[in-house]
Amino acid sequence: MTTRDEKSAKFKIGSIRSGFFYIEIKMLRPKEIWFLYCEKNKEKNFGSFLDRTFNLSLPEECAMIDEGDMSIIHAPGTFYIIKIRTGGLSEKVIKGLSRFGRTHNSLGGLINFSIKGRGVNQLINRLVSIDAERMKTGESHVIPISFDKGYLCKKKTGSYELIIPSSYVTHFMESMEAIVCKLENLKKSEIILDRLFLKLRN
Amino acid sequence: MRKIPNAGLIKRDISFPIYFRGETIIASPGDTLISAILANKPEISVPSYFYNDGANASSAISSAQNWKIDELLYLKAFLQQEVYPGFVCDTLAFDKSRGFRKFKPRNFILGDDFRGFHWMRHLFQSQWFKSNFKPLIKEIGTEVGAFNCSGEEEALLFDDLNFVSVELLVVGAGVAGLVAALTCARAGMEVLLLESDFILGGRLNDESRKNVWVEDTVLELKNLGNVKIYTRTQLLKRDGEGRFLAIEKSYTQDKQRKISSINRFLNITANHAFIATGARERIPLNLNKNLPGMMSTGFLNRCLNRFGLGPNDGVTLYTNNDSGWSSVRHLTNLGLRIDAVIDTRPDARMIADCPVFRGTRVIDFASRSQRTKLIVRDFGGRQVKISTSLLAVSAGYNANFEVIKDNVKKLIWCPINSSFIAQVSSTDLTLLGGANALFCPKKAVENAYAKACELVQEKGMKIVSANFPKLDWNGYTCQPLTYGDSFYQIGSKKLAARKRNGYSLFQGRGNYPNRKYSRVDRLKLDALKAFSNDSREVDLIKKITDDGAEETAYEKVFFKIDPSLYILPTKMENLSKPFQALAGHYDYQKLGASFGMVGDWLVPDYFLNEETSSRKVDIYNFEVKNALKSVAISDMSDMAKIEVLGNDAGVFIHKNLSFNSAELELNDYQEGCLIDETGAMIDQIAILRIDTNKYILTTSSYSERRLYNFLMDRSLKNQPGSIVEINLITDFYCSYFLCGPSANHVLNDFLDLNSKSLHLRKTKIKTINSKGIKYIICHASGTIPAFRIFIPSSQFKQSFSRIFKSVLFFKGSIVGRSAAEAIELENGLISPGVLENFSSVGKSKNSLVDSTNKKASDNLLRFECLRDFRRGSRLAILHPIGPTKNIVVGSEVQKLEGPIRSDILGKVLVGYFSKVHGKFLGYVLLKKFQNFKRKPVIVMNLGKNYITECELSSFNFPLGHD
Repeated sequence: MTTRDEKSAKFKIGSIRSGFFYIEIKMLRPKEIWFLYCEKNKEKNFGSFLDRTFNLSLPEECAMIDEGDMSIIHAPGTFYIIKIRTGGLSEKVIKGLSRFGRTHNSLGGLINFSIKGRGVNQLINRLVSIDAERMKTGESHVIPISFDKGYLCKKKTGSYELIIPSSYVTHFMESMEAIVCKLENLKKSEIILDRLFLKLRN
Repeated sequence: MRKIPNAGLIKRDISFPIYFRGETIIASPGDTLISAILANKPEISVPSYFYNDGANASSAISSAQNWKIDELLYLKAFLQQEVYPGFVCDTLAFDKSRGFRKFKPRNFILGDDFRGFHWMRHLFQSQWFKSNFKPLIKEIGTEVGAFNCSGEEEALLFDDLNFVSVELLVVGAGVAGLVAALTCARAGMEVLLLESDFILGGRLNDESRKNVWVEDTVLELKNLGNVKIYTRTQLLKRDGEGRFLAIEKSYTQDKQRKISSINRFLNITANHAFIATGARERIPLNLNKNLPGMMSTGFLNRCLNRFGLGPNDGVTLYTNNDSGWSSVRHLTNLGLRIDAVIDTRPDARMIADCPVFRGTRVIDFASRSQRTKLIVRDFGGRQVKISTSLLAVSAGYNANFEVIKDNVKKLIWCPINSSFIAQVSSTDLTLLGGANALFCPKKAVENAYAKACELVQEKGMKIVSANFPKLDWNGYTCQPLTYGDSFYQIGSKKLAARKRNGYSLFQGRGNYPNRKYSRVDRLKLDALKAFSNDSREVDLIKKITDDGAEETAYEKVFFKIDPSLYILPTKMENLSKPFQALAGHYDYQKLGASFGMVGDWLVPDYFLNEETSSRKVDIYNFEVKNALKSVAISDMSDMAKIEVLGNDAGVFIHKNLSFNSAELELNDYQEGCLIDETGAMIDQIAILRIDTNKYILTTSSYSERRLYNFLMDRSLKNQPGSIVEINLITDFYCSYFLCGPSANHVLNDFLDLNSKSLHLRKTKIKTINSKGIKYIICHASGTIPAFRIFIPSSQFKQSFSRIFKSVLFFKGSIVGRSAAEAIELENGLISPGVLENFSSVGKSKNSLVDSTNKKASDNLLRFECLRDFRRGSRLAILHPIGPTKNIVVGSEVQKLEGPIRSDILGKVLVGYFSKVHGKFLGYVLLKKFQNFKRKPVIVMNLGKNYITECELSSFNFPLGHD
């Protein structure tokens, strides 16, 4: 059951409809996004800390765990992104986290999107040059954007989550529309020459 | 060429107009541009034979003026383009200046216009895309000529991008590819079949008998649910991560029914790949002439059997292999006249109903008209002239494995085929058929079937036997062709030019059959030995070497291998001798030189002697070494310049900047740093005494205002009677920092002086008038020559071009304008040895400044020797590690220890994007002398609401060690 707080934390910022494509883009508003640069030798301890505090297991590299109000993305290396949807981490927990490495709350500079709908795989392919169909549920990827980077996670089949720097929101929104428009146009106008010749012959 | 009734696969019952160079041509479905032209214009009877022909495409050269297609090689790709209603090709519209001349055909199906070649713009702009595909983009861009001269990558854009993942990828739908695909598909594997042509079957379509097998197999494959077939798709390469990158061409039709092409970039992931890209017909190099009346037999067969076009008159066949004789049979079956057959093999047993010359060679042409006269000579020196309308040359094949050239581990010489066989480094790649140097179709089929069965068994699947086409020839032998005699007829200058181009080393013995092995032959023999594993093979090679092996395609293969595979041997001696016999091997030297290692060679590891100890090249170290060897210039005009004039200027500076060493002598120059009242270093400073009463102080623009205000303040408080004038002259002088071992030569060049006559000792200044421009030149301290050059701004324009021309002449690099980059430049040029020297300076009695002297504590600013590091360094480098990279100048740097942030370590002097490192960097002026090694710190960005997480390392290590 979604809480009221969670409902308010999600809102639709647009949908792209064009022939085959129907894509819904929602902006997610997590309360906190914490970055943790976990020290290598403390990763195990961090795992047990997660288990103890949140009853969550440590996600594998390039994977995401999404449970309750919290999702944890394990980016390549020992870098973790902890996303809190409602409430927030208590000071005690933050202190606890800082034992494993450097932490920092980066909510201000990041935007969290969810993208889903018909044709979303093709859109993701062309948007970030990652083969979306081959991604497993819970798999996450780093998307280098210019000198910055974003994160792409597959929540379930046909539903993805993007975390990108806020300055790239317009760019991404425009790109998505342009891609869908282009794909639709290609679909409509593409012909097979052999069939055309067959028609001519008949 | 003329149409031959009832021949060919093209049904000419329906036709449509296409437009070529403003003329209308009638074409039929299945035509390529060249076949349509040849079918319409019988007077174009003599398509010429081009050297380095990709896939038997041909260019048409006619005596008819309007139809003369000039030597623009890129046209070959157009000639292979399939035609469709409304196809327009106006070759005159192509802009030569955009580099189209560079185009090398590679069976590449291009659009009817280059503009159809589009990358998706937004994707292209992303850094990731650039870094991943930049090499590829460059390669393709240069290849198809889509780059304009300035190399702007934006010019190259694809329409679409797609990802495909399959179990098995089969590249090439020739006989081997089809057999392999069919075997695996029947067993139930998921197969993707790529073919660059628009019909499947490859060379089987060029055979005289209609091959029902191709139709049946294609139909079966299309009906199997687990097979995808992509025609018109050209595989470009297999990248380092095992992905296959290809371009699929498809067509769209707009509302006005106009057809246009789109190029879709495919990113293919496959568990296993069969490379069945076939073979390429080669030519003897002595017939490297673009004359009318020459053609490859492969293309002649294609014209006859696929397009239904034949020669207007008799044909002469020139061959060195069995495949050429199959063409003889085809021609005879079609009832065409054969003037003669020339076989280079003295023991060739085939018989034809025409004059056959065995053990002879075509050495030249007596006429260059349409009716060609060939001069044929045998080993005994006897010569014959033959008149013919068309010379069809079949000089054997080269295996075509260019698409996986990055994965070639070793090449093995096969004397029977007289070609190289590639050994592939990765286990998930298998070469089949022609690509595996099996040029006889029957053997190619057997091999393909066997390999496919192996794979099926490996996967634990059941083999369902595949049907094979009926193929008539079972054997293939080929005699290597030499350059022949004609090379000896050309002048020595031309020969030398060819040598430079890398062609000469495979040259045969030519006219002198009884001469002992030449130097070239010995080298060639060594080459062949090295490529062969078997001693018996070597003996065979020894016998064959009399004629030598002509090798052309491989030079192109090698030079495109990923630079990360290269090895750097120190000397030429470390390379295996056979390497020297490789045509174009000097390009590896050029490659080495391009990395600044003049005299060293960069070669793939399989060329190295086994016992040679070598190391993989680290391109990054190259950059640093390159910097250490060459010269670099930085425009530092925006650096602050403050002039101090007056009788007491020397005393004033000495006193107020707490300058502890003796007063500067005339034309003396001193580098140092500014430190504040707390002893923290603020900035670099250099003091120049250019006249008795004239000093110039330079520092970075960041500290300009502070230093100027400080000096002005002090001058006002000056004792009465002393006259000091302080002027800010930043805009009056341009300044450059010239640094590097070649700096002397650059100076010498643009000043028109001998650097020895300059007699400029270290830390000295000289004012020189050269060609009306006044230069103030300071020789900086340090072991590597470094100069600061000051030029009055009014003479900037004249001086700028001269200096930069000289720098570029010495292959120098130009570093950005900012002072920060100058620090970096200097940093990159300091070797560890130099640093040791600096530390010893501080300890010696001759130390310029005693940094521990705190007497001048009442002064706001102090001048201190920059490199006097006793207890560590006050300059440290910041490497951002967090998501935020920006570093704001003037921000405080704090320790990061747990959640409590305390202790200000220092202030950021400069924060900038380093071109050398490809990332953001910052320099910090520390409060105290300290040594840090990757200490995590945070930068409290001034005026911003974000922080930057960084690692702090002390300055005193050379770049490249982090």
